[in-house]
Amino acid sequence: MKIADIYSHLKIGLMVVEGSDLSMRDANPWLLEKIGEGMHTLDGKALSTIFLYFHTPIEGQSLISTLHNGAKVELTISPLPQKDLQLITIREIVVEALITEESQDKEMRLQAIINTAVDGIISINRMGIVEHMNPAAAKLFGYLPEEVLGQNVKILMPEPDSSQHDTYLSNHKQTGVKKIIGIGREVNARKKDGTSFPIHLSISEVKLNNKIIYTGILHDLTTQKAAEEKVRRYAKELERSNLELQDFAYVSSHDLQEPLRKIRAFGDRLKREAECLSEKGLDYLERMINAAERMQRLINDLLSFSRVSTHAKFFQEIDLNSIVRDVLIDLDYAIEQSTAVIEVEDLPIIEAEATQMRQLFQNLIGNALKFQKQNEHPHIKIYAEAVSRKTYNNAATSENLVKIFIEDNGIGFDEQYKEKIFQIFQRLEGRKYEGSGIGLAICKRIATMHGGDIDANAILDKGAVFIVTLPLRQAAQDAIELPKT
Amino acid sequence: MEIRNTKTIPILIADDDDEDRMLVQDAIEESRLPNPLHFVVDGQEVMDYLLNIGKFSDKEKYPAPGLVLLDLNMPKKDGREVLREIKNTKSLRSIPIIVLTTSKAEEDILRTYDLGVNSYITKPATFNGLVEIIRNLGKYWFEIVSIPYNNEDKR
Repeated sequence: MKIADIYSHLKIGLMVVEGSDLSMRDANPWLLEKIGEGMHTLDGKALSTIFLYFHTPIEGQSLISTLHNGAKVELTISPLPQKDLQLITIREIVVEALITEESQDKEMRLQAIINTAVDGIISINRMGIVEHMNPAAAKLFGYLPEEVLGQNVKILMPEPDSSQHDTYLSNHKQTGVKKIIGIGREVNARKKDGTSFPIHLSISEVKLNNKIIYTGILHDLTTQKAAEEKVRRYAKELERSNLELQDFAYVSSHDLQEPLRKIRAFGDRLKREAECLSEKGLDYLERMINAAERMQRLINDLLSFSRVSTHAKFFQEIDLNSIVRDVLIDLDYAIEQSTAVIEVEDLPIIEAEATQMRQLFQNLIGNALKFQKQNEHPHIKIYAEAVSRKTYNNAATSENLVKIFIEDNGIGFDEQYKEKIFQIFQRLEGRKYEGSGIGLAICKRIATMHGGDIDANAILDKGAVFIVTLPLRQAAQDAIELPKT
Repeated sequence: MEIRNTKTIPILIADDDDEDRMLVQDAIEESRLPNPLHFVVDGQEVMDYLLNIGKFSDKEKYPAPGLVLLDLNMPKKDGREVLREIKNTKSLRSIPIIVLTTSKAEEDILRTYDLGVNSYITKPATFNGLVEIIRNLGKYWFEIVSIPYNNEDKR
C-alpha cells in the first residue's frame, strides 16, 4: 500500500480553507463524519462555525479547540501551493481529555471544598475588588454572592476600616509591610443589614498568572465573643459578690463580737464581786465566760476563712523554708511545752501568697502539735517531693507541682472521716482539743486558691500525714513583681 | 521650772457604746487615774466639744482636753474622719489622740497612724486588761511624756 491509497482510512482531519475567513472548500471523510455534515452544506462557510470555541490559528502554532460535538481537537494550519488556500490539519485529543478530566475532577473537588467550607473565603484583587466569595461568606454577610462580586471589599467592613481599606491596600503595595497578611487578627465586619459582628480574619497573598490575589478566611466569632462576655460578666459579678461578702463578714464579725466582749468584760467584773457567789456559781460563771471566748474565736476564724478567697491575688517568690522557720518561731512556746522534735527538710521556693502560706503552715504544724499523744514526745517531719503533672485541657498554671508533707506521730484519725476533717466546723474529737474546726478548711481553701490541693492519710493512734500539693508557678497575669525585701 | 499638775488635765473619751463608756470609766476609777473625764457619743460630738459649739459652748463646763481617747467605729462621723479633721485643724492638731478600739485590723492601724494618731490601742478582752492599759496610759502620758497642755484657753 502507498500513502496515496490510505486517504479514506485517515483518522485525522484534513481541510482546505480559502481566504482570510478560512472558508471551507474540502474536507476528508473522517473530518466530515466528525463534523456531522457533508461538503454540500459546509462549502463556503467559515471554519469557525464548526467549533464551539475558536481562535484563528497561526502558522507554526497548534491551537486547541472544541468541535460542536464536544470533541477536543488540535489544529495546525499550513500553506498550500495555490494562493489563498491553506491546509487545516485536525487531530482529536483523546489522552488530553483524560488529563483534563482528571484536572477537572481535581478542580471540582477543590471547588467543592471551598463551596462547603464552614468559614467564609473571599478573594480580592489588588484594587480590593471581590473576585470570589464562597457560599459560607455570602451567608455570613447576608448577601447573595452576585451582590458582592465585582464590588469593593470595603462594603463588608464597618467604619473606620471601610474608608481606610484603600489606604491599607496601597500602603501594602508600596511598602510590602504585612500588617495582617499572614498574621491573622480579630476584626469587625459589616453585614448587609449594617450590623457589625466580630470575625477572625486571616489573609494570604498569592501571585497567579502575573496577578496578585488576596484571599481572606473569615471565622465568625459572634458566639465565641458572646460566651466570653458572659464569662467576663459572671466573673465580675462573682468578684463583686466576694467583696461584698468580705465587707459583710468584716462588719458582721465586728458587730457579732460586741455582745461577746460585753459578756466577757462583765463576767470578769462579776468574778471580782465573787464573795456572793458559791463555788458552783463561780464555776458556771467561768463556763459562760469561756463559751463567749470560744464564740469570739469562732468568729475570728470565720473571718479568716472568708478572707482567704479575696486576698489570694498577690503572688511572689516565697521561700517555704523561711515561712516554716517563722511559723516555728511563732509556735516556739507550744513546741517547748510539748517537748516536740521538729525536722524540716529542704523545701522549695514557689510562687505564692506570703500571708496565706504562713497561715497554712501555722495551721498544719499547730495541729501536729495539738493532736499529740499523751505519753509521747511529738515528732514532726516536714519534707517535700517534686511532682510532674501533664496538663491537657485545663488552664492549669503549671505542669510542675510540689508536694509538701507534714507528718506527725500524734493521735491520727480514722481515714473514713478523711473528707470530713477538711469541712468547716467538723471536729472529730469534739471539744476535747482546743480550736474551732476551721483550721483545715482554711488550709484547703488556701491550697485550692493557689491551684493546688490538700490531702491526708492517717492511722488511728499512730499518726497522720498531711500532704499539700502546690504549683511551683502561678498564672502569669496574677503574679506581680514585688521588690525583693 | 513649773511642775505641771497633770492630775487636773481633762480627758475626753469618745465611744458610741454606753456600756463601753461605763467600762472605761470603771477601769479609770480602778486604776486610780484622778483626771476629770468628759464623754461624747459620736464623731460629731467630738468636734463640737473640741470647738465648743452647740451644747458644748460652755468652755468652763467643757474645757479643752489634754488627751483624747477615741473609738474608731462610731455612727455619724466615725473615729477616722474625726482624726482627719482634728489633725487638719490648726488649733486642735497638737492634742494627743489615742485610738482605743476593738479593731485589730492591720488596715485600721496603718490608716490611723497615717492620719497622724499618736497611739493605737486595741481594747483587751478582759476588764483587768483594760485597767492595766489605763494605768499604763496614765503613767505614760502624764508622768513619762510631756504633753502640750496649758491651763490657758488656747483656742
